[in-house]
Amino acid sequence: MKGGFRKSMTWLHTWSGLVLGWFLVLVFLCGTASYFRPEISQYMRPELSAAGEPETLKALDSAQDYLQREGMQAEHWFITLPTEREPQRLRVFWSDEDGRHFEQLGVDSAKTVQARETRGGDFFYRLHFDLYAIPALWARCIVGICAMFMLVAIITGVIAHRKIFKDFFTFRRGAHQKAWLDAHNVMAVFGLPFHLLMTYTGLVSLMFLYFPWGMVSEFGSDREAFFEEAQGYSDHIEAAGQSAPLARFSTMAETAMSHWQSETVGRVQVHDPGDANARVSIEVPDTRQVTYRAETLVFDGVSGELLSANPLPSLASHTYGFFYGLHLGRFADTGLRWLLFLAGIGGTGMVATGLILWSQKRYSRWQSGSGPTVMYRLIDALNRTVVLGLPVAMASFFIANRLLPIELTERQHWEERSFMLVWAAVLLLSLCYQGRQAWRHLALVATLGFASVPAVSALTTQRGMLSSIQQGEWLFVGMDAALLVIAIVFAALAWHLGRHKKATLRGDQP
Amino acid sequence: MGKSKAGRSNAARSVSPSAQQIAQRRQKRWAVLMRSLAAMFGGYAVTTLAVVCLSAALPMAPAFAVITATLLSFLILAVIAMWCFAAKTAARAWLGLLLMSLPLAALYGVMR
Repeated sequence: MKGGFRKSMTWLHTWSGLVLGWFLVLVFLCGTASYFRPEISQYMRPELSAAGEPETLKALDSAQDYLQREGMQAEHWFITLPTEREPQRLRVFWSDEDGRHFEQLGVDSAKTVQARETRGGDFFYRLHFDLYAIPALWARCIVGICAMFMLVAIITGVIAHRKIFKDFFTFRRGAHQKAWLDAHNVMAVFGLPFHLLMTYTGLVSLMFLYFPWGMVSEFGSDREAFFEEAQGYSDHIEAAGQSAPLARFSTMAETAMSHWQSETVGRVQVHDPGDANARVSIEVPDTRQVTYRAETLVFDGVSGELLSANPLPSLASHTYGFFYGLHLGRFADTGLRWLLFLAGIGGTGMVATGLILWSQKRYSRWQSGSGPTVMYRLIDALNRTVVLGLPVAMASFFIANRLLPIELTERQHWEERSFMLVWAAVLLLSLCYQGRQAWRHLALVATLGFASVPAVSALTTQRGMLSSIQQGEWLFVGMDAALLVIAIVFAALAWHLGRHKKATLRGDQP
Repeated sequence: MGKSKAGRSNAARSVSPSAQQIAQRRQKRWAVLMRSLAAMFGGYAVTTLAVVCLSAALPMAPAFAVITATLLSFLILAVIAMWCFAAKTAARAWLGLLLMSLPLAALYGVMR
């Protein structure tokens, strides 16, 4: 019976892992890329500088001047200020009867700045939980179900896998499929705390979508009442209907900076601008603590007076904000961010090696007699499309960003479509062309793709590696270097996959 | 895993399975499916009951009780799902879910 249980668990792991794995590679890889969301966004707007120090007060003046000119019909303004990671990015958002407006402004000009239309790092960030071309609600439910499976898999994995520590120290190098198995195990066990944390905190970040029932049972349909009580304050009151000029936001930000002893402030929101009851709320910067939105200062928009400081009101709110912040990772400095990135790559690698293992095992079986069925061929093609096709599509997203004409209508959608079209092309190719060599050749395509991004960039923009070094634009230098390193990793993978063929000829013992 | 075990399973694979073995395998997979459905749908329903009960019962302001209960929801669901696979049979898993949900539903009825 015990053997039966273990066997059924292995069966469950193989087949649920397969279907889940296709989603999980996408979620892991896009989530990992999102650790560098602002950096990717800046890299994909090469017209704009990404160097310098964030000038919070100057930026806030510029945003206020612009919004007072353009956005007086709106009920809310949202201002995203420059940070150390994106020192030249000042963004404002408002919506009025003309629609929703997102603009990037010059830090000292109160004018919009012109850059190519692109979604930048936001594309990977959204793909991470909203997927593509399906309603966001469905996508989030699919991703949530996958995450829940993952959570159960991790907990049961620790319980069931008695040799967990022994396996951690096992690595049978060489060309055998056991090397893939050991890599799969090492990455799974080594990354276990990270995977557990990310899976759980990811679920937490959307928990009122997945389990709204506590909120519904206590607050009915009044979500706003719930969130006001949960965050401990209300950031606006009924508009008075009388107009009154706004006080300067930069003065309020100075108060906030001395309150937090910090050089910058977080997001700024303005409610009912131009009304006598206008309110301005300023969030604490993300880098000050792990907890997301740990404290918000609310100011009277007309007198500029600080009305209340609002730290999160309870242990429950703090815990929620802490888990949320942990998932977003915005608190991390450069060193920790790279560590988180590597952990994310490890998570992607764990799922990817599982999928590679599935295919490699089947190849050994097909070689020793029974040929592949249609379904097995399809699964094998999907494995390859996910594991290697996704990186190839990512590289083509960067290349499309550099090559698509600047004046193309719907340009940012064409960047996304390039990603999806290349991915679909890889699927088609994978269906027609199979076997170990197909893995190797696709890894070479990924190598070429990533290696060509810095080259295309140097040829088509002013931000080639050499000129970026001369201009001190280190973000562009860093991104180019990172892309080259990724290309080298895929070259190594292609080399390793190439060794398999010779090895299996020498004899592949079970 | 011992070498002998791996050898045995390889040998079993090369011989085509009998009709009885196929029927057994099918039965097993059906049981796995029933357990999975219990873990997913039954688990979600029981967790929802637990979350609304905790939201009402925890001795703190309603919003904080809701947050605490909702934070726990995924762990509750995970434990229930695991229990569904640990139960001796799929039928027992479903029966257990029913037995868990009755007192929770009664409790919620009393508190509301």
